[in-house]
Amino acid sequence: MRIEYLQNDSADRAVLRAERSAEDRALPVDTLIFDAAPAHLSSDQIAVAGVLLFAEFAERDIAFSAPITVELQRAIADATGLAVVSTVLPLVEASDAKEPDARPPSVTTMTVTFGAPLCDTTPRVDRTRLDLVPGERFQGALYGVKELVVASNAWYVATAIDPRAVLAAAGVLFAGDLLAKEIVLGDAAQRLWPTPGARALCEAVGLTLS
Amino acid sequence: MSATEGIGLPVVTVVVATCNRASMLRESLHSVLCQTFADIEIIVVDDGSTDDTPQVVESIDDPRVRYIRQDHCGISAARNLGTEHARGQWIAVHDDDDIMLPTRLAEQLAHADDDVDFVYGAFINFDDATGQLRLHHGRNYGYGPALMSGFAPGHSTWLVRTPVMRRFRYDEGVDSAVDNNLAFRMLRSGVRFRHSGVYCLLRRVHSGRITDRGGIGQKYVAQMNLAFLQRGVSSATRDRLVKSARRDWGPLDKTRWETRFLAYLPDHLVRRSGYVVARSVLQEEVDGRTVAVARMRITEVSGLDWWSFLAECSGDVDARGVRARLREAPEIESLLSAVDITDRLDTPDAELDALRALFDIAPEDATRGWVAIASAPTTEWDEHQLALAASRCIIDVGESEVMLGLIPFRSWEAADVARRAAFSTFSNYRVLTAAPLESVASELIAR
Repeated sequence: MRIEYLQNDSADRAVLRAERSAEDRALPVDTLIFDAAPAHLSSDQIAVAGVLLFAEFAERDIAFSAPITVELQRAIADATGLAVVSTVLPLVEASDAKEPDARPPSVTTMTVTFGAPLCDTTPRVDRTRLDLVPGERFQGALYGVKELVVASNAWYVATAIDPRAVLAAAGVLFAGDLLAKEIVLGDAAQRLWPTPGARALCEAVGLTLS
Repeated sequence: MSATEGIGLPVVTVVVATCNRASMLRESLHSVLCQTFADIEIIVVDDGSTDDTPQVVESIDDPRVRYIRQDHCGISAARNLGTEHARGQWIAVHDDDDIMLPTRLAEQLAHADDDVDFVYGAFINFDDATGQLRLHHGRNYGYGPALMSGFAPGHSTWLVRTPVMRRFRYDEGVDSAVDNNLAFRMLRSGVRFRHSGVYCLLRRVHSGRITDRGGIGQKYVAQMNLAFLQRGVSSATRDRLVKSARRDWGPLDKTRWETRFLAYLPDHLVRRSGYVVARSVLQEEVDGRTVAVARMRITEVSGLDWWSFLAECSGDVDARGVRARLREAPEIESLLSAVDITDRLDTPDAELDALRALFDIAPEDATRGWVAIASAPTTEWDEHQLALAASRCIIDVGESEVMLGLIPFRSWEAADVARRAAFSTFSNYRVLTAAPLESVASELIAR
């Protein structure tokens, strides 16, 4: 299984994609698409989002198109039992990892939902919000100070993959844009979720998942 | 679950939405019922017809046909209703005035693997008055072809996973360019498309098609669909995509497309001749051995009407022996009929096919050296001769039946002696070498 992120695919959209190998299980959906790309995103975050979404379909190993830290490699192996394969560059230690430019602070609690109606008021203090509206109905993104509404196929992915995993993956990808330290899954049942593995993966990229 | 597995449920649901097209509906449904892939159901959604559509459907004696009626709500609502009631893993869209080619579903299902959600293909328009044909090849679907020309796969070629159709549904808020709208929304959402390279149908062009009736309405919705898709795509990206799409056609074999499918056109447009061959293979016990016996039933088609011809094509048949031509003006047709040049049954290809069948089903070691091919009416073969044959093929042509047998030998001499010893009454007995010529060169020289 290979996870790849395109900030700008052939149709100017941000895409997180899985490509399975012959021994992996069939993927009911293989792309998570956004009409707007996160502005602040690390390769570790990409890897975590990809694992949350697609690892259940991998049989043996998982590879990423960009190098990830050794700590995250261990966290992925512990959470999934998969071997992590780097196909591009050798894995790097955390101390050697190239930091994204001007890494934003992590201070807010971000709620992620599937297209909730626009609220009359902005989110409360230290709260932010990410809404994923259906890309088959809407195109583009609405940027607020503390809110982001993005057209996405997340609704479609969630018909085939656990909706909580979809919301969590989207939250991990946009965490930097909304200065998030914590992700709250809105309008999705939280019983039995997040799993310890999902929590650990998010913690490996500095995020609390609840 | 693979594309062709199921547990008591059909693999494919064919949804036919119809409204006041009883005159063409019967032909359309017959073409679906004659599919070589038979594990299907057909849901006819009657969108409030006021003609004898219900009677037409009721007259079809096939348990695979289901009839649902609704008040007139439009084609989107009708197709959605069909989708809701579907029991198949895949939904095939088919129009009430088109002719589905007999192998469409079988061939498309061969492309329906785990990595695709939406299979489509090519179609041929035919003018219902003149028989003029026009091929719609179809590009490999993606943003490029969609942005270039608003292209969406021809809707009557669609074979879509049922859950995917249910999740998206036709938008009942538009009454034209509905397929275009749905395909764009699926494209935006990461649905996986694949051009199968299959010729799916003969699409009837006549006055009264929705596409023809749409007019201004058809154009404005299509325009809005395209504008939606274009948003967010920069002009540089669009130019690049369009440039790449210009030559990105689906994998279609266009050899003789103008004539290959003529035979499936209605009777008022074409005249057929030639034959179809239906094949089967059975195992027979002969002298304690198991011998494979192929049967080829040859049916001349010139005397068959369109309904019977399509029914003949619904099994595992080979239609390469069928010829068809567009009908001429009545006075010329009567002239041609008087000469009767097209009705002679000529089956050289059938004999060749029978030879191939003999070799295909024979045990491997039987075809290493020399073989004799003996041919005679089935009733002339005796038990001794049957016991000698390693494989047999029966060519069934109407009221006569000819049997070919393959008898293996290690030498040409033995094969030649066997002609006199066991097959002296057969007028047709040929000795062939199945081995490479180099290995038997010395024997050939000796002869």
